[in-house]
Amino acid sequence: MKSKMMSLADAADLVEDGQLLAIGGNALNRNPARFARELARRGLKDLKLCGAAHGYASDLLCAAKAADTVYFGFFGFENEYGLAPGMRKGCQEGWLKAVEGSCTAQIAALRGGAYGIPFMPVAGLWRSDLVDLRPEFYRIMESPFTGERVVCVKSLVPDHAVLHVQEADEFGNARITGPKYQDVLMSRAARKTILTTERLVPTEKMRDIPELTSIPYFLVEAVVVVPEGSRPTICMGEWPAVDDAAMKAYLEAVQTDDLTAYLEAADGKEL
Amino acid sequence: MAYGAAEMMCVALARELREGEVVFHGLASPVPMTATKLAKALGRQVTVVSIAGGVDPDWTKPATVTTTVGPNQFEGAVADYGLDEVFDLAATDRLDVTFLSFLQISPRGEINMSFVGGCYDKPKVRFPGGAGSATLIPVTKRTVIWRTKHDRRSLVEEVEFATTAADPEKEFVVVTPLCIFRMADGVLKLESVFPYSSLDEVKANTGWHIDLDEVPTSDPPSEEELVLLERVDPHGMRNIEF
Repeated sequence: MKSKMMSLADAADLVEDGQLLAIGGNALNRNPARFARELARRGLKDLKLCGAAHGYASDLLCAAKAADTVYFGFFGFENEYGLAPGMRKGCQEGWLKAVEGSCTAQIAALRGGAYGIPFMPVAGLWRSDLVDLRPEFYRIMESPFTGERVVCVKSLVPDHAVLHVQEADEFGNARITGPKYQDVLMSRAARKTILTTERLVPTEKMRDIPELTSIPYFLVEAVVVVPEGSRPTICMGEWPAVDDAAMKAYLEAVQTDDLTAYLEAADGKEL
Repeated sequence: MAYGAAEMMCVALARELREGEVVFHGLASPVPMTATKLAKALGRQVTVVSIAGGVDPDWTKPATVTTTVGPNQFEGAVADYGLDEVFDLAATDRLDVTFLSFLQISPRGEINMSFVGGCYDKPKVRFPGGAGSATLIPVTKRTVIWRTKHDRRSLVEEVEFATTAADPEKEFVVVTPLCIFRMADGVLKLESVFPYSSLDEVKANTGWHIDLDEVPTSDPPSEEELVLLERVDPHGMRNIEF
């Protein structure tokens, strides 16, 4: 095992224009928020973002116009924080392409990527207008065995999964505390995984209870220690509620189209 | 005890859950989350699964934040069973009830969670998407739809886009702050009106014609239901939806 430790800037350098990123977390929970802000400052273009339920991190990349395509089942903030303003703006202005699924369809696409096959059948989706709308993502096939009709999605192989975890060692063995969402699947589907972690832990800790390591080191290309790296989103055991002031500052920044000032103010001293 | 639409809706959703059922709610779902806790507090043996992955999280521990996919839906759970697996459960006919919502719904149970105005690729207002609904509604045995607003903009004769649609062969019920609709013969039929509302109020706020002269009144929440509701949700997470 060799160390994957690097700075936030070096990890962000791994991401190139036009790449497909799987963004970990769910809505306003355990987003790779700090990493997304790092990407948003770089003037990247044409990123494609995938996942089942996107929140702050993906929305920021839309608001920064770093993304041109989003694959999602749900894209928004829960409850008091409402709709995702960056994604809405991109779609409503016509420069952001929505490849909308059920969350299940997005999961199936990642499974197809993880399984090394070009497409994946997925349950349900009958009577949804989404299927005919995006033939580049959805097709209907007949089972070669029974003739049963099934909706299929094109597999997705993200260039990077971008995940925030509670614990990782220097090699990239990682533990996720609490809800894992699609993070584990994303690490299997992506070519490589970029981790930000609340804490660095010794590998011996992983050896003590290996079943708690949900992401093994050989899938990982970067480990960046970023305490509170999910803020303003929730991180179980670390950050119990949405950072209300920070979230409102973000919403305000998108509303007033002043993302640059927001990004300058959001993180203080660079890591 | 006094009650309002939030309490009535939580109680109405909890009453939809039957002994032994496996029940799923998604994100942004404080009212259904509270309803599942209420059903458990009432002694109903239901299995609760959610996006957070916790199977039967500890309902005696009240939520203090409004997210319904976070730690509160994981802590005290008996197993970790994630969303991917919940979808598989539904697809294999082993999920009994799904709670889902809508931004627009038609009397045929077509649901729009995608956009209104303009066209799909340049909408006037982009919505968040239907989350799991396009897969879950066609495969789950029973869908319980809730929305905490009942008005002519959201209950419409025709949706602009069907993100998903009811399967006429499956059970499908819609609960609003005013009333309960249940699907029969492929059409939503007004089943009952909440005690503080009226048939006239429902008609005035529904975008499709309701051809009824009278309709039963729903049972109001019982004292026990209201006491237990307060116990499972003392911080009023349910109210964020209103």
